[in-house]
Amino acid sequence: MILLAGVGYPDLSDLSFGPKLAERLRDMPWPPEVQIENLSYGPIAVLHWFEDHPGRFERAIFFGAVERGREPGTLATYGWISGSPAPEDVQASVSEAVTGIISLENLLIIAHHFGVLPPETSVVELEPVEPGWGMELSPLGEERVEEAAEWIRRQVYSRGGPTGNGRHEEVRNR
Amino acid sequence: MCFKNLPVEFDAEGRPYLREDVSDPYGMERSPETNGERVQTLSRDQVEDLLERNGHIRQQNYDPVTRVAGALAFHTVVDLEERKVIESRSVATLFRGYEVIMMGRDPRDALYITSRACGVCGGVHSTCSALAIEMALGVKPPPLGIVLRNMLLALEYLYDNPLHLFLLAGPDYSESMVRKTNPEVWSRAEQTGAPHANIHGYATIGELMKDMNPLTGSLYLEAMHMTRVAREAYVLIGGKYPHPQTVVPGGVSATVSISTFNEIYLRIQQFFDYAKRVAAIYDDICDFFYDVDPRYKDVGRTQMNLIDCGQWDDPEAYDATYENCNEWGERRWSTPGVIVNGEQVTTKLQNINLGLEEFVDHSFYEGWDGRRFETDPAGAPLSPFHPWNKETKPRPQATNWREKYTWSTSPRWDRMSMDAECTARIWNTALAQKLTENPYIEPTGHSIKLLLPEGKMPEMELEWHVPDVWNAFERNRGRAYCVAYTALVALNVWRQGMEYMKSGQTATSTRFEIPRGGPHVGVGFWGAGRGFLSHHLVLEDGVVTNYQIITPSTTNASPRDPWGTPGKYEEAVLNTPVLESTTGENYQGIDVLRAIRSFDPCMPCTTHIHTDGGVITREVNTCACGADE
Repeated sequence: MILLAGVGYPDLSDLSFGPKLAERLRDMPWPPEVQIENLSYGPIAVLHWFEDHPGRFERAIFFGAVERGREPGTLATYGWISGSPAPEDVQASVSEAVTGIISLENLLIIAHHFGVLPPETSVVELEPVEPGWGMELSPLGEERVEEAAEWIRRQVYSRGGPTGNGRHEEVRNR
Repeated sequence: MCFKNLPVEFDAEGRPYLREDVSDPYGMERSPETNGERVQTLSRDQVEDLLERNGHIRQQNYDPVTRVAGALAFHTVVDLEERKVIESRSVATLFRGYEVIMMGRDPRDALYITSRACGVCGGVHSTCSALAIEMALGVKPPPLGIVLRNMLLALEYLYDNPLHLFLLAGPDYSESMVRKTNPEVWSRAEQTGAPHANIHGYATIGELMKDMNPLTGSLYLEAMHMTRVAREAYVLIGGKYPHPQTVVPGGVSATVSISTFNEIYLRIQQFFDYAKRVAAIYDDICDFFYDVDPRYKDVGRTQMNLIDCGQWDDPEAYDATYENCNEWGERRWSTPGVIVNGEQVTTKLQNINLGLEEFVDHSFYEGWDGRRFETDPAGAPLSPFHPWNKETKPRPQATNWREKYTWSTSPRWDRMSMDAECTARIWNTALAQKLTENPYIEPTGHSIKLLLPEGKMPEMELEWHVPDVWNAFERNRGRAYCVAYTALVALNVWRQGMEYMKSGQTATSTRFEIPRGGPHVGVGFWGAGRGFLSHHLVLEDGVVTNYQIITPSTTNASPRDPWGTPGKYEEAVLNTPVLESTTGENYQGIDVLRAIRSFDPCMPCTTHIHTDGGVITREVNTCACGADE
C-alpha cells in the first residue's frame, strides 16, 4: 500500500496546504493500493494509528506547509532522512506533540524514532506565501497544490523513488 | 470568616453583603492581609544594585521553558554563592485573545471556539462554556447528559495527568537528568531500596529512575500508551479529541448504548492497576528526595493557598442555576473550596465567585473603568475587578520588569494569590468531607482513602494525606493520587450511567432557545486537568457581550498583583534553593525547572493569534533577557 498523507492546521491559508492537498488528491482517480489520509490530528495519535497497521504501507508521501525561510511559494520534495534524529530532538517533538502541536516535522521525527514510517518515505513541503487566517490558499498556493498533486501522481504511477536522503529538490519556485 | 480582605460579610441567614462602613470597598489602598508567610521580594532597584556589584549574582532566563504546553518564559536572578533565587518573573509570551474573539458571537460558538484555548484539554473548555450558557439560559440537562460529560471530564484527566507525570515532569526525576545534575543523588538512588517495590516492581530508586528516562524508559512509554487508552474511551462519547463535537449546552448530543458503556469500562478499568503503581512510584520518588536532602522540601514551596471549583455534577442536584450553586456545588464528586494557609475557608461556589478579581497592572492590557454588575444574580456584592465586570483591552508593549511583562493576568481570590492545581481537588474534598457516600472514595478530614478494585493486581486502598509542606514534590505526588481519584470517580459515574440506562432515562440533552433581551449572565465553574477553570459570560440580544476565561495556568503563571505579591510560579521559584551540584556550563537550572513544571504549566498553546505581523502557530522564543530593565 502507498500512503498519501497531509498534515497541517485548517483555515490558515497556505499553512493548510497539507489538508487541502489531501482533499485535492481525493478528487483524483487512484489505484486501489493508494490510501489518502489527513493525519492532522496529533503526532502521538498518528503514531498509534501506524502501530495499528504494522507493515501496511510500503511507501508514503507526506505533505504540508513548513516555514523554513525559503522563497515563498517554493515547493520542495525530499526523501525522509534515514539517520536517527537526536534524542533531544525527539523528546522535544514528543513534548510538543502531547501538548497539542500539529506539525509535519514533529510527526516525521516521532514516527521515525518509533520505527513506524514506511521503508520509502518522501515529503512534499510548501513554503507558504500567505500564512494568515483564511479558508483558501493564496493563488500561488493553489498552483502549487496542482503541481504537487501531479508530482505525487507521477510518483505513484511511475514508482519513482524519493530524491535521496535529505537532499532537497526544488520542484518549482517563484 | 470567609473573606479577610474584601469587605464582604454574611448576615444571619448566611447571605453575603458589603460592609457599609468602608468608604471605598474595592479600593486599592489597603495592602491585603496574606494571612501567613509572605515570600521575601527585593525591589527592582535592589536587584539591579546587586547585579552590578556582585559577580556571583546573575540573571538566568529560561526562554522558552521546555516540556510545558505552550509559550512560557521565565526570568530569574540567582545568587550562586548563597545558592538561592532573588528575583523571578513569569512571562506568558503569547496573547490568547479568546475573550476578544468571542465578542458579538452566538453563544453556541463559544463551545467550539474556546475549546481551542488548549491543545491538550480542549474539552474542559467546551463543557465549562456549556455550563456558563446553561446558567445564562436556564437550561438543565437530563441526568444521563450530566453523567456523560462527567465521564468525558474524567477521561480527559486520565489522559492529562499521566502525560504530565511521565512525559513532561517525569524526566526531571529520571536517571538521565539526576545523573547529570546531581551525581551524588544518583549514586544514592542506585543503592536505595524502593519502599513500594512490591507495588511498582522496582527494587531500587535507581531502577525506577531509569524507567522514567525519556523515550526509552518503560514508564515514559507506558504513559504514552495510557494517553491512547483514555483518548479511545473519550471519543466514544466526544466523537473526537481534544476538541469534542458532542458537548452542547443542555448536555451531550451523542447517543449512547450499553455497548458504549461497556467499551468505556474496558478502558477505565485499565487505570485501576496503573493508578496503584503511579501513586507508589511518586511516593517513593518524593520521599527519596526528602531523605537525601530535606532542603528539597523547599523546591517550589508556596503558601498553602489553593482554590478549586469542584467538578463532576450530581445529576440529581445540578439545576444550572446560580441561585442554587452552593447546594449543587457541594454535591459534586469533588468538593469546591478555597484553602488559605492550610485552612478551608469556604466550600460554596458563590463565595468562590464573589472573591474572584483579575488585575492587569503588570500585564500587557489596559485597565477598564466601570462596574457594570454591582451584584451577582443573587444580590451579593461584586468587585469592579470581577470577571463579569472585566473588559479585555490588549496593549502590546515592551517588557519591563518594573511595569508590564506578561500576557497573563493576575487572578486573585480575596486579593490573595492562589494555587490553581489539581491537588486542590482532592485537598478540598478531603477537608470538606461532603462527598456522597460511595464504595470507593472516603474523605477523612485530613486525607482521602481510595479503594482501587482488583485488576491484575489485588484490590488496594491508597491514602493521600494532606501534606505538611506544599512544594514541587507534593504537587507531583498529589497529581499521582489524582489518577486514582479520577479513575474511581469514573467508576462511580459509570455505575450511575448504567443505572440511568437500565431505568430507561436515556435522554442526553435538553432543547433550548437563545433568548433576546438581557443581559443574561452565567458562569461555568469547572476544572481542567491542571486545576481551577471558570468561564464568565454575559449575553445580550442573543450574542456574547463579555466572555472571560480564567484557566489554571493564568492563575499560576500570574505576574505580581497591584500590591507586589508574586504569582505562584514566581513565589515557588523565589523559595527554591539551588541544590543542583553541577556548575558552569553544565548547570541545568533543574531546581527552578522542577518548581515551575510541578504546576503542569499550560500556556494556552497552538493558539492562532492574528496580529498585524501575521499568525502565530507555534511557541516563539521571545528572549525575556532582552527586557527593558
